[in-house]
Amino acid sequence: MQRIICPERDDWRATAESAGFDFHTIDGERYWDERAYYAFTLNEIERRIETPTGEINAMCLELVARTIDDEKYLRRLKIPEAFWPLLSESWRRHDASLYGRLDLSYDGWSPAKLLEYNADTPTSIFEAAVFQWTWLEQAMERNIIPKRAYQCNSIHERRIDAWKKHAGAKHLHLAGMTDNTEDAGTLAYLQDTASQAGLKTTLMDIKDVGLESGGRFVDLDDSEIELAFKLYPWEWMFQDAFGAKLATAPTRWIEPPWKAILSNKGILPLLWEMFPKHPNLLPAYFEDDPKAAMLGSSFVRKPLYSREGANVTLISAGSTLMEQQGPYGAEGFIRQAFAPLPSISDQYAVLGSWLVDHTPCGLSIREDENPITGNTSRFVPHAIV
Amino acid sequence: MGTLAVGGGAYALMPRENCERPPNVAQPSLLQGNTECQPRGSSSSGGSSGGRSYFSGGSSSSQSGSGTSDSGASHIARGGFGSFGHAFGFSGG
Repeated sequence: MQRIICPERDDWRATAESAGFDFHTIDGERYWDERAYYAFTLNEIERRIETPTGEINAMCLELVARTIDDEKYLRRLKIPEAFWPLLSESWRRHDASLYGRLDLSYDGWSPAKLLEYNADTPTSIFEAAVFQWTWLEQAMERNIIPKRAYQCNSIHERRIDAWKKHAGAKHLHLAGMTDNTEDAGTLAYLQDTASQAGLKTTLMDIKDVGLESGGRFVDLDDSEIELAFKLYPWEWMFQDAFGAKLATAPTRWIEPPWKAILSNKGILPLLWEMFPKHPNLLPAYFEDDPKAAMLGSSFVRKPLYSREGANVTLISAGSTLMEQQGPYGAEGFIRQAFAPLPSISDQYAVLGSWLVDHTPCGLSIREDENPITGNTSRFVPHAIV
Repeated sequence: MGTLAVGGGAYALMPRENCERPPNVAQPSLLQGNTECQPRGSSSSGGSSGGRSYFSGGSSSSQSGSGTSDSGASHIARGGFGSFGHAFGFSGG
């Protein structure tokens, strides 16, 4: 893995905006950043990224199978008891998972290490699947990168195939917080992939979901929501007023309820317990576990529920090195061994390894001067050269 | 580690199955309702695809509403999802 400085396309902003990629700049700062790219060999992608991604995903599925009926594990993850049947029924029905993103620490030499699994509501998929690919094509045409470069990126095609495979002929509703630019963009992109798969779709705000007296969820036309993609975390749905109706409503959800297990950072200590010393895992423990002391005085403290690095703290030699503010932490914390991110040109990089329908199929890289990757960490493209 | 530059050893590699982007897939966009897209170029190592419209159209719709009302006539309550999330601002990760 190399970080290679390169000229940016003069017209990339116009290109982004013509594609509806409005959040290329956030609060006046670049979110999309093509002043450099990360270069890999195909062998590196296959052996160091894709193979571990598939292996970690398999371990995660094994963890779900073990957790789904294990009261002790469910309690450790702080999943409310009222929703245990919802999770287990969705698992037994084999409700489909269409996508997820593993965040990995990878320095180019050591085995990639799992930092966390964005299993429920991963975003940055449009820029990973589409705009990064557009960059690759134009960068080759303009001699910015080698002519015969390639990219680890079949997210878009696999996502369309996954819709065809799992959604059938159902009408798909997509719901999320549409007043958030990034979430709205993600929903619009996924709606487009569903349309390309031949589905009839309706995009709506999550707050517009209706509940009729018979217990069915409906849209603004009062039509039943039979199949819904939600860009809204399960743990929030559990807390919302309609949460109590999830178990009895006939709506099928993507991502499915059993993904609530994998989006919980409590899986990190559970994976370490099930697969100790696995080369792609970091030692991790629940904070109240006496074994957490084995990590010593340097570790990363993460809330069970957290997104975009919020409430994550880096502790080094007993002192707080870095802390990201946020609203999470009420459910408790885990501690994970400190795996310093590679720092190249004073930039810390996290690799996002995408899975669609359980197949590793794409790579995205977020970069920051801060060692905790957050909501505004820049998206930097990659190429296989 | 310092910044590294491309050396003369850069060489082309064929894509593997998982990475490979198959040809003739429509170009997506976030702009709903467009009927045309830019023609796609070709990846020298992965085949090529011609330009085609990205958006199938006609089967997609968006809905918007107040989100907090009850419909007395049809006994439909709304606003039961989203309240927890709006305290956070974004849902993705």
